[in-house]
Amino acid sequence: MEQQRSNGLWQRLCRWVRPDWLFGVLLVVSVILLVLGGLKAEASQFVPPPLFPKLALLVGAMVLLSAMATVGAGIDRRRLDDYMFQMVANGAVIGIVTTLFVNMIWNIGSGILPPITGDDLIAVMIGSWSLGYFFYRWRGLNS
Amino acid sequence: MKNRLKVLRAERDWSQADLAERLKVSRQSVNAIETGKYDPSLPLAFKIAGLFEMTIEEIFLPG
Repeated sequence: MEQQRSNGLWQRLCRWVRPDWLFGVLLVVSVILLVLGGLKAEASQFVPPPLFPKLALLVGAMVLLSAMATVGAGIDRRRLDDYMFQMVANGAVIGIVTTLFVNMIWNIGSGILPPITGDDLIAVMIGSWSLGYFFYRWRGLNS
Repeated sequence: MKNRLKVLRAERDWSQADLAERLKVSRQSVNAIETGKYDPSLPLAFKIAGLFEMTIEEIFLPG
């Protein structure tokens, strides 16, 4: 009973937040990030860090954060509207695939295309996630 | 997957918002199911069937 009341409150809150608005804002944020990234594009002095601590930190962070994200996604799935969750999740797939392709294209075209930074890729990921969400919202999950 | 949700809802004179409230989902979910943009999860399909006191197969049709 308490669980049901808690779920209802959460769902009302989620309905109030409106994923359409949330992803609209995220799309604008991604464009702003891309513009800001372009403005501070001057090359910084890059000093390569020692390999082992970097690898250990990255692998540790990856395992820990992906486990936390899995738990978080499980909570979202139980509490969010199934339709909304599926659009958000499918949109995330579009975001990841798009980011991988952008990275690949820029790697192949290095020297021809202007260089991109990690921040640019994050902006691309957020933007394509939002676009993926809106494509599914428009065409449906069965498209 | 086709479904008879719109017809069943109309028979009871419920709006999409009424049905959404009864199913505890968003109105957009009901609209997406009715327009074939989204096939509900199995738990939601059972919930819909329970609400209309029918079997899932009587509401959702293959193809």
